[in-house]
Amino acid sequence: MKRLQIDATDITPSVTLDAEKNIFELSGRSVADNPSDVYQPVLQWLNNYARDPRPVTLVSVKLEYFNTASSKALLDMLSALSFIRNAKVLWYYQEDDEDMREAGEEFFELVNVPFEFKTY
Amino acid sequence: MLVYTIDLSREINEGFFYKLKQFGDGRLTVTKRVTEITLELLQNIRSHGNGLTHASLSIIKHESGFTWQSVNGVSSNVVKPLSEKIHHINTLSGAELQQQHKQILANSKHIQAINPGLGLYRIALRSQSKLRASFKPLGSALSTFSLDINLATHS
Repeated sequence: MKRLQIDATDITPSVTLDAEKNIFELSGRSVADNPSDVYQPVLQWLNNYARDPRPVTLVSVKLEYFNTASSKALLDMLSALSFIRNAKVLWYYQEDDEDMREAGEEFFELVNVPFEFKTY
Repeated sequence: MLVYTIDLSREINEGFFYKLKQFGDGRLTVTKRVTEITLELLQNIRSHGNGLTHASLSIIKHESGFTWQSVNGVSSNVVKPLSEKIHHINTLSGAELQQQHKQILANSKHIQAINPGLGLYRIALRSQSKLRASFKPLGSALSTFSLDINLATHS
């Protein structure tokens, strides 16, 4: 399956979705007023990947900031993982950044996907 | 006392985050809350304000924390529902705010766009203070919406 690579900007995250190399990462800032340019291709990629996923899929989410416009896009992305067997979210947050941890917990409660919380 | 007036005509860039980091008090939680509240107010002005003609956004750093003064134009017909929404948010406890924020986010799964009120919930959650809003008519169709937010940083 073709790799999806989206480079970060000051206001949008970097995305690497590479089934061959087993890399599934979203990181940086997600604070654009209209984040669908980033998340639409991600959703499409994940929906295709769900048809023939690896035995285990670990998706790293390491966001510094995200705004409410990105909340729905993130929720849609994380919800799409529930259709991938044995998918798990690795939710990274800076030590002491309890707000980002709580944001991860909120998403965890809204989607049917296991989360692991990790500090960096 | 320090005042940082955001240039609303400029796009958010690395310099914006750098300035807010410098404007914080060195603590990660404070810097992140200052940045998040500013981002939400900016998003509110850009997405729901009526252009930038009547808009402004300033952050005041003082000895007890930070205060935001946000102003933007809104259609006069949203004054009543917006006032009611802010009044409702101000009646909620922290736990209730968290619960309703999650509920609105959950409901957004079934609609195209995010509920415009979600940003106000997030501001209230991050600032842990009441939202102070006022409206002033600018003719029959337009009003200014002023929103003042406090973030106390005593620990």
